[in-house]
Amino acid sequence: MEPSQPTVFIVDDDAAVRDSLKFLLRSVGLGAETFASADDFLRSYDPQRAGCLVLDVRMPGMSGLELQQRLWDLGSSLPIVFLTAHADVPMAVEAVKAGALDFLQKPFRDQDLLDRIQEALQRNADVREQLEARKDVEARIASLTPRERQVMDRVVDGKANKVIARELGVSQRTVEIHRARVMKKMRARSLSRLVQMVVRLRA
Amino acid sequence: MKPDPRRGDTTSPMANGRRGSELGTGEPVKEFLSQLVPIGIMRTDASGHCTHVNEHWCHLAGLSTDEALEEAWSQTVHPDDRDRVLGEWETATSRAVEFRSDCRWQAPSGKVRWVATHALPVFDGDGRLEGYVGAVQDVTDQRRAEEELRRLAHDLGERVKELNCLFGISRIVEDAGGSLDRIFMQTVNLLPPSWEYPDITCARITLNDSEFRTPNFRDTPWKQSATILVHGEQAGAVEIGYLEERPEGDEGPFLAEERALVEAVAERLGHVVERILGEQRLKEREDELRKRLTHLTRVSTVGEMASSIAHEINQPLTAIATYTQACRRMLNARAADETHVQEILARVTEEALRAGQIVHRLRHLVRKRESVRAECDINQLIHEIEHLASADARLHDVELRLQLERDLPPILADGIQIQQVVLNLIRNGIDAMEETDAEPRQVRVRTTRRKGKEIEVSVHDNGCGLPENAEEELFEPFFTTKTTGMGLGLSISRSIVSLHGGSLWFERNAEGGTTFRFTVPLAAD
Repeated sequence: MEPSQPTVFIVDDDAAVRDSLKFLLRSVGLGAETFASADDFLRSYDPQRAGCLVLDVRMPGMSGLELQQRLWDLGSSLPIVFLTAHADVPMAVEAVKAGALDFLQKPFRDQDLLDRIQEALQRNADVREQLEARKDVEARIASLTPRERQVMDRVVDGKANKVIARELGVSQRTVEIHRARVMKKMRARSLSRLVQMVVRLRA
Repeated sequence: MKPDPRRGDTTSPMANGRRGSELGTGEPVKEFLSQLVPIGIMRTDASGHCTHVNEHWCHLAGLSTDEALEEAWSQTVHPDDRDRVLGEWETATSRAVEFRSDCRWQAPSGKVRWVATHALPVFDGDGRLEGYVGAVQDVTDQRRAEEELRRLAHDLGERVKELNCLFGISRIVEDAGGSLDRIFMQTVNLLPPSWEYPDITCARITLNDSEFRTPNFRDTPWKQSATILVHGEQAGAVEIGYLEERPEGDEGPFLAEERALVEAVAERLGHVVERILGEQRLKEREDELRKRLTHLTRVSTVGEMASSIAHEINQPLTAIATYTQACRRMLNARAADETHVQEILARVTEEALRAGQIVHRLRHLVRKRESVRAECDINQLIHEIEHLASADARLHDVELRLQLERDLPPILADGIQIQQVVLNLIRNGIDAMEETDAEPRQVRVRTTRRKGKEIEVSVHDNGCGLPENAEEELFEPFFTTKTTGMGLGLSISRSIVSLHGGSLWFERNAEGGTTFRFTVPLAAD
């Protein structure tokens, strides 16, 4: 699956700030979409789309902090760079504690913002990649037979073949055959790789 | 029934206890009586010549009996009274009737006395006029007493005039409402009636560079004046003049009382000036203090909004910084076409102007200035502060809503002070919602025309509401329910509104929160 071109979603109630940000991002070849309010953004929110959020902390109606909470509740992994006026720094600090990537005080140096955005996009890409990998692992696990799954769970728990054979009431040889099939279906080149895959999924 | 005088005891008429009328008419008795009673008695023939006088008469006239009988009695009458008295005598004798006259007699020694003469005609058996019998009484003392009384009455009259005059000034001062011009103009016209000849009296009051005259005032040779002293310094004068010559009095044609009066008026006016100047100075200081306090409160209100204002200016600055940085990147990357750059520059300009506007409005609001009243549109005034107020509202997550009635007639007001009141009420509304979860978080400003002659502005919040006893203290200076601010906002707002002829009050909303209302009269009808 080819990753889609990332978009920087800009949410700010000030039209000129929105407009100037769009110009800046386009000047460095980044795709940008602007929204005048948190509600506007939520209405067109698509979890499938890659990118990051540039968000004003304080807005009439739903504030930046509230939008952050809503996205969290929706399971979104969109990284957020907050923009803030001087007076709102304490709010921005709260936002960072709640998982935002960073905050910038208005007005900001373009490079600072672009660096944060790059970082955010990178993080989003990483997250999406991890997500893809996870889905891949899940699909591989789904292809296992129930017996293979039982063997794998015990292997990952660090149990010896002899112990597994006793627990499942089969011969040690049978365990070895299932284990080889698990390694193949899971495309795990080593035991440690298999353990890594499954543990990460369990987390 | 005529009593017989011969029946009486001539040497001791009183001894037999009879009354006078029964004493008889005999000559000895008459002689006796005429000498006993301090009354001059005379008899004349029909032509008016004395035929008999008693001793007292001679004493009054300063003549001997012989002289008295030789001369016509009229010669004893003072020359100034003689023509009058002779006229009266002729009138009486020609009709043979009773004669009464008061006049002065002058003795050859020059001594003058007032006498009252009362004479009755005497007829003979045939009814022809035989002559007169007259009694002459010295009334000099009585006259003097009367004159003294008249003089006293006159003096009293003068005192009354004087008091009336001073009392009149007091009333003028009371009614003039502190206007020196009015006091002096009315006082100057009050003066002539208090002088002896009101019809020919004119007056002028000068004070520093001002002059107040009666309509008939002109310079005359017959005048008197008194200096008006204000705090010991010569500040003006009260002048009285007669337009025509009058007999000599105590000071030219003027009386001593009039000198006293003109002095009293000048002194009174001096005190009035001192008092009014004092009051004016006090009022000026009070006005100055009020002005400074009003300004201070306005600045303080704006000060409380500092972070909102900073936020508000920060937005266009952010846009400008971002636009220009975007522009540079485009230029560096040679990715910019000219129209693109032009467009961005236009937006930069717009944002710079927007920031400038905010600063301009702010400076306008906090500027120190004289209070100026002009016709203004209340809605326009509110629109001018809307930006600032909205910024503040937004910062506190409150929505500011305006419901302004269209086509309202103008009010006569100091626009900035009215804006100060509205801004103060909006800020109070926003603060009232600081610690409440009430929805919607809204401050509503409404303008409406109230029955004909005034505009009402109301500011409605659904905040925490006011404490129970707020009525008593809310408008007191330094009363505050907040942790910030001086507690002067409402007190100053109320004084601004009342100086504009309106009133400011509040109501508790049924659904919570408070509505403040104030009225301002329309400019003119």
